[in-house]
Amino acid sequence: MMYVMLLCSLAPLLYELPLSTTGICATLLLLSLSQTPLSFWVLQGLAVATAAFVYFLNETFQTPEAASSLIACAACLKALSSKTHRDQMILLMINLLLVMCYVLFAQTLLSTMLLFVNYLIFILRLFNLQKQKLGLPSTALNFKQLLSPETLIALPLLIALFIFFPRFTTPWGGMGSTAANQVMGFSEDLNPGQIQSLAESENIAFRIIFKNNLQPNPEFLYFRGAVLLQNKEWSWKNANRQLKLVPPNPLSSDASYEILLEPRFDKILFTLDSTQQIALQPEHLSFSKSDDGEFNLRWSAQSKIKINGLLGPNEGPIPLNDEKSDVLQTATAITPQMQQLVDSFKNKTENEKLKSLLSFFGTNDFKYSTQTPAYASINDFLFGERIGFCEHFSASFAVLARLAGLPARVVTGFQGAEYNSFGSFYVVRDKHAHAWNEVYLSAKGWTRVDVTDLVAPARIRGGALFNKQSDSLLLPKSLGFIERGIMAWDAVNNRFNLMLMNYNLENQVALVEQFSLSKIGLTSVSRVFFVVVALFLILFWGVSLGNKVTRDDTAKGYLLLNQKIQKLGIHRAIHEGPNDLRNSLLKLSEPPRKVLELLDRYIVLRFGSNASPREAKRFYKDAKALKVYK
Amino acid sequence: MRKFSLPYRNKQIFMIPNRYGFVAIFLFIVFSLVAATYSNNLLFLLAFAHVSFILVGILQTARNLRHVEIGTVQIPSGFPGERVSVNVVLLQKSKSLKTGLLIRCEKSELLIPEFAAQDQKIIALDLELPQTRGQHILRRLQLSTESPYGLFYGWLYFKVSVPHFVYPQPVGHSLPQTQQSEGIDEFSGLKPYQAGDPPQRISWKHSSKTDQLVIKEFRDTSTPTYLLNWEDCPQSADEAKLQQLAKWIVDCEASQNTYKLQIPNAAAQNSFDRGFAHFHQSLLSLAKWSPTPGDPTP
Repeated sequence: MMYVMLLCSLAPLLYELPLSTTGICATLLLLSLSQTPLSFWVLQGLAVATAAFVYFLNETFQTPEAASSLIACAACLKALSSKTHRDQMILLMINLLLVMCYVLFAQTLLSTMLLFVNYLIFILRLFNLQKQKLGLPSTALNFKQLLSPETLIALPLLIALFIFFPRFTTPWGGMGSTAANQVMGFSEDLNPGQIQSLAESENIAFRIIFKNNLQPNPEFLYFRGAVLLQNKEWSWKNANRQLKLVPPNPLSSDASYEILLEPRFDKILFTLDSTQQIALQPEHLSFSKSDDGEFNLRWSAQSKIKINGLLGPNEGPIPLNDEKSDVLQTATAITPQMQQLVDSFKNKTENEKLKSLLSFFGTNDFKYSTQTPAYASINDFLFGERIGFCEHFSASFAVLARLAGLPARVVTGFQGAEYNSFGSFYVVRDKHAHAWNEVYLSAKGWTRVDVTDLVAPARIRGGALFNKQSDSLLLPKSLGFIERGIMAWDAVNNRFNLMLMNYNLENQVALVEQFSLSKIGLTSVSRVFFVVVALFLILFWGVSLGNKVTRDDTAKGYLLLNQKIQKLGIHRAIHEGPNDLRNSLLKLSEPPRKVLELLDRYIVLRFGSNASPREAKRFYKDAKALKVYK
Repeated sequence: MRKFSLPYRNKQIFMIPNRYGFVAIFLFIVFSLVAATYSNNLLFLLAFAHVSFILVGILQTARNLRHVEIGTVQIPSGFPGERVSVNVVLLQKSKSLKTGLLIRCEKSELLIPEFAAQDQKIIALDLELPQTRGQHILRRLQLSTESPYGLFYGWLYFKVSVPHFVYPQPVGHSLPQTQQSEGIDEFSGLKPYQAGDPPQRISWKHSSKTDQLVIKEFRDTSTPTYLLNWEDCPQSADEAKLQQLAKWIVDCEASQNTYKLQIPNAAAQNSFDRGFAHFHQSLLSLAKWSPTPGDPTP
């Protein structure tokens, strides 16, 4: 039972933790299974060595990964020396901590189910450990015990607490990071190979729901992340967040959308082009100072968060003032070939420059692939093998554009999404990661340019994704039974996320406001919470008192008889049985014959071997009908 | 004596978490803080499930104690410091099985692992009698449990007030060699029936006339007969005299002699006899003895 419990809580957590932790835990568990007796000092030594190893791997104990690894190892160590009732109880409590660690990493419908299964095992184990302590045999799930009136109130209490408990934030919000295993693949910089490495990752980055049943084509689904300005050869850095963009809005002017982000920490916000306004919970927002002293807007969350975006019409081009010199600089080695190419259209208008540049990529047999050679310079790519991924195209295009005097920058983010017809939402995965460019045109402002669209239109317009095995783009195919099942499950998951994982103070306020005439805040939600808790406590109290004592007819009759005998001045003391009562009655000047007779009947009924329920009933009736006068 | 009303039960249940209960509560605090820190609703769910379970645990522990009643409690009399067996009749009036009930009488305790629904149990608890002679009262019995989850310690008291007597310590001089006569059992009178008297001695003829069971008393003239008189005690202090008489009674009983106790201010008349009932009756008279008639014993 102990190992089943450990397996249920440890296995899902280890799946989320680095492989090294699994290795340590597996070793400790195997040692435990072999039942090798270990001395106290060996165990202490193992504990210190394990802690040191976890510290060595994580370089800290303060991140959720390190803390979770430490707790997982502690559970396995405890399993090694779990002999007494005390040890088992400690292991049980550590087990609950393992469940806590697991839900820090995974917040899906499946993890919720696992959480409840683990909690049920915890209750059952607690129940059986107590039985073991009493020397009683362990039993399977005792439903009669579990479904007592008290337990039946626990479920509504759990729901009420969840709905009304004020979602306050602590001063340590976002402490540590679980981001290590939640790779989104984007950093502040762009180097060749970064986006390429995500080409086959099925990890979900976020889900997006368009309001008013909008269903945009894949080619419009550009989710902007980092905007990179500084260049040195292949490397692009200095992410700068600018929400207002010029590209024409492909959707209606008042379209809005909702993004449900997977737990990530300290990352750039991803929003659709032409987003005019975004809204998310303030506790998830933060600003970080970049190298040049500018502040970038970030989000940080260890749980799923929701972003509401509003798309709107362009406000016209924003003039480039001080930043113009930044977006024209390049620290790339310019070769004569590159210079010659740029010189051919240097004196043309900006639109003609753009056309010429795009025509260079469109007509020179560039190939889209992840099997790219290690290019020493941009020149090698442009005039060499010409096999590249989106990051190669965007980086080299921006360098050429800047050389030609066209303000340009690199943008990283996601392009494309999978539509889930069951839930009417789009799923954006890590494999949708993409890099493209924006050029500044004086008439339009910053305009999106995607060279990949020229080289591999199927990737952008057809929604195809790169397949490493075939080294080619694969167009989305019609879904089979299993794929449709997965999609349906994802739709349920998304619904669950929106309802449960995303429930926050805003929802609480909205809920309470339905019953209130005025605007309310956190204090009012807290008041409602305390009222609900008080109501439940009263209910619990009522249930605990409401159980009536059940007595058989013999007991009820004897109780009545005792009360009637008290009228004669005889009070039965605790040490007196019916025989003592009989003797006391016999000492009276006129012993009551009927009372004595009933007492004799009680003795026979209670202590006799064959008392029938019918006789007991008659005894009760007679005791009730008995009239005693002093 | 205090008046009682049946049944003997107590609704006032006390409850504190045991060490594991404190750990469970601490875990709830940890879950809540981590959930708030990471705005993690699933962790909030875990925290609320945990606190709901803690509440259910408290109520189920209390439920495990409720509806257990005391039928009777009987404490035999004995000598100072003697260990006697306290008989307690426990009644289970609920419809559910109860587990892990611990009943405690002063320093002695007994674990009842399982107590079936609607059942009754007669249990024997060990009790060390006080060192002072006279009437003593056992004020309460404690019933406690940690079941069903072992996280909370709940207990209640049955306020029972059970009287019990402590005989004088049998110390002093040995029995004087005073023989009275020799012969066979001889009828010496009638006396009211008491528990422990042989039923074959009941005089049905006399009992039917008085509506009270009476037994015939016989005096064994084949064994030495002693009149244990207060005045014959060489000691001057009352308590010392009582201890001397107790010593003589023990000696008489040990040598199967017939004896009769004669003390001033005796609550009940004594007659020549021997045997278990007479032995305890005589010692009880000493335990109850008071310098002034009608005064309560110490």
